[in-house]
Amino acid sequence: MSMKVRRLGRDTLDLLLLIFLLGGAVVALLGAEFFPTELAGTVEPIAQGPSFRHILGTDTLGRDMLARLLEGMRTTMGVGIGATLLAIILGSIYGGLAGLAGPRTDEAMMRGVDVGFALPYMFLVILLVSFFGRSMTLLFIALGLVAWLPLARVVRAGVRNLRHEPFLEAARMMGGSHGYVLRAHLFPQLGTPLVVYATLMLPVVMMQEAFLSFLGLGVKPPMASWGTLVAEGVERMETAPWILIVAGGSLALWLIGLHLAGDRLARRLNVHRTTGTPEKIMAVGPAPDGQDQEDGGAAS
Amino acid sequence: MAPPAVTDNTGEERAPLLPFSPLLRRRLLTALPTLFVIVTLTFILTRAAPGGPFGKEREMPEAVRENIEHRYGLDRPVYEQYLRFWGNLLIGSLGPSFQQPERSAFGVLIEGLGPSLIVGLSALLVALILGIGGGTLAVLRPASTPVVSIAALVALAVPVFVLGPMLVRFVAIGLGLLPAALWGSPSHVVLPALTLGIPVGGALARFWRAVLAESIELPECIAARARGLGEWQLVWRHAARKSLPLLLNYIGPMLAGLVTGSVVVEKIFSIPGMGRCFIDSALARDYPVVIGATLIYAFILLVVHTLVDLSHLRLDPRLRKEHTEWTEADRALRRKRRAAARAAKQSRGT
Repeated sequence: MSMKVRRLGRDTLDLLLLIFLLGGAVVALLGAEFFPTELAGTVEPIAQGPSFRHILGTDTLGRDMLARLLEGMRTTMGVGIGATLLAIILGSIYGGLAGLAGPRTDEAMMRGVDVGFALPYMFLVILLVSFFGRSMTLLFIALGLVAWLPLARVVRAGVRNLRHEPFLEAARMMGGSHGYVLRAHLFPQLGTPLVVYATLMLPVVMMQEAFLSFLGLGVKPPMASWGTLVAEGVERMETAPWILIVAGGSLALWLIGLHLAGDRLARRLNVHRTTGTPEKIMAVGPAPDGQDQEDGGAAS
Repeated sequence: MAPPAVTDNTGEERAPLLPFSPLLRRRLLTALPTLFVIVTLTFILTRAAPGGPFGKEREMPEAVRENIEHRYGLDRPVYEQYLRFWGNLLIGSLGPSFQQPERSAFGVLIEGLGPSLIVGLSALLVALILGIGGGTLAVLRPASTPVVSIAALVALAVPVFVLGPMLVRFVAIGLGLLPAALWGSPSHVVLPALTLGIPVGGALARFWRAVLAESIELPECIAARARGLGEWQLVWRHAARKSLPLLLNYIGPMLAGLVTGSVVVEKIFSIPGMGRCFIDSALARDYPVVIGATLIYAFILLVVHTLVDLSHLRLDPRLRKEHTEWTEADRALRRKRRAAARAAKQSRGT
C-alpha cells in the first residue's frame, strides 16, 4: 500500500517537473512574441520595483523586467540546447568511430580525448570569445566543442561493449562500412544512454552560457541572456535588488529543475550515472610487451 | 612500498626510484603533449584574433605604434614569434606584460596566485566538510536522506554567480556581518570560500553518498556489522576506507570546478587573484599574461592528477602489487631491448 502511494507520489512529481520544464521552454521560446509590445519598450520609470504595470519591475534603462527575462531565457536555452546537440553529434561520431576502429587508432583517438580533458577548457573558451568578439554563434560552437568530450567516452564504451554482438558481426560481414554500422545498428542501441547524458549535460551547458554572459563575454548588450541579467542585478543590487532576485532566482530554479529531471530520467531508464566507476590505473600503461591492451584508453 | 632492487645485467645495482616508475613516465607522456597543445593553442588564438594589444582603438601616432610593436617583436613573422616564445619559455620567462611593461608576465601572475590559492583551498575545505559530512549523514541516518539529497541538488544547481551576489546582498549588506568585497583580512575569505565551496560541496555530497552506500554493502562491511561494530566505526574503519580511491578519482573534476568558479568569484568579490587577472588580461589582449595563466592552470591540474595516481598506489595494496610487477616487466623489457641493441652494435662492429 505505502509502496503504491509512494510510487504515485513520485509519478505525480515527475509529471509536475515535466510540466514545469516544458512550460518554461514554451514560455521562453514564444513569450517574447506574445508580450505586449507597448510594455516591452517603455522607458519612463527607470529601475522601479514591481508594480501592476510591470509585474517584475523595470531594469536600469526602464525596460520591463519580464520582457527582458523572457528574452534572456530564450537566448540561454537556445544556446544551451544548440550546443548540447552539437556535442551529441560530435561525440557520437568520434566515440563511435573510435569504438569501431582497430586498437591502435582507438588508443590514439582516446588519448586525444584525454588531452582534451586535461585542458583548462573553460579558459580557452573565455579566450576564444574575448578575442573574436561576442556572438551567439561563436558561443554555441565554443560550448559545443567543450561538451562533446564526455559523450565521446560514453559512446565509445557503449560501442566497445556491443562490438562482438552477433548482429554487428553480421552487419559487418555483409560489407557494411563503419558509417553504416554506426548509423543503422549502433546508434539505435545507444539512444538511451545518450538521451540521459544529454539531459544531464543540458543544465551544465546552460550554466556555462550564463557564466560567460555574466562575465561580459556572452551575447552583445541589446540582447539579453540569463547571465547578463544577473550581472545587471549585481551592479544594482543595493538600489534595485529585485533585478538580482528575479534573474538569479529564476535561473537557479530552472537549473534545479533540469538537474532533477536528468536524475529522474537516469533512474527511470536505469542508466548508471558516472559515479566514477573504479578505474584501474594500470590500464593506462602500455602492456610491457608493446602489444595493445583491449581497453587502454578508458582510464583517467 | 619500495619494490625490490633490480640488478642490471651490467652488474651495478640500480635503485628503483619512484620518479622513474612507468606510471609517472606514462603521466609525463600525456602531460608534455598537453602542455604543448595548450601553449600552441593559446598562441594561435592570440595571434589569429582580429585586432591586437596595440590596436586602432588606442590613439597614438603611427610611428609610436610601430615602435611599440617592434619592441615586443609583434612586427616579426608569426612563426618567428612562436619560436621566440618557446625559447623564452624554456628559460622560464614569458616576457614582459604588455599592460604593465615594467613588470614580467610571471611576476604579475605570481602576485595573483596567493589570494587565489587561499580562496581555492578554503573553498576546498568547505566543500569537503559539506560533501563528506552530508554524504555520510545521508547514509547513516536514512531519515535525513531526502533532506540531504534536496539540499545537495539545490547547492549543486545554483550557479556560483547567483549564489555569490545573493550572499553579498543578504549576508554582507543585509545583515552587515561580513565584508562584501575586497581583500586583506581573514574575514574577507569567508564569503568567497562559501560561494565557491557550496556548489562543489553539493556535488560531492551526492557522489559520496552513492559511493558510501555501495561500499557499506560489501561483504567485509556486513561482516564488521555482524561483529557488532557501531555504525560510525563501520563507516570510519571500513566503508570510508574502501571508498577513498573513488573519492580521489573525483578530485580531478572537483578541482576543475573550483578553478573555473574562482574566476567568477574573484570578479564578484574584487579579489586581486589570478582569475581576475586572467579575464582582465584577456580583454586587454595582454598575451603573455593570458598564456601564462592558462599554462599555470593546466600545470596545477596535471600535478594534481599525477598526485592522485600516486596516492592510489599508496592506498590500494592490490594496485601496488600490480604496479610492482608491471615495473618489473617494464624493466625486463627495457633490459632486453638494451641487450639486443648492444648485440646488434657488436655484430656491426665485427
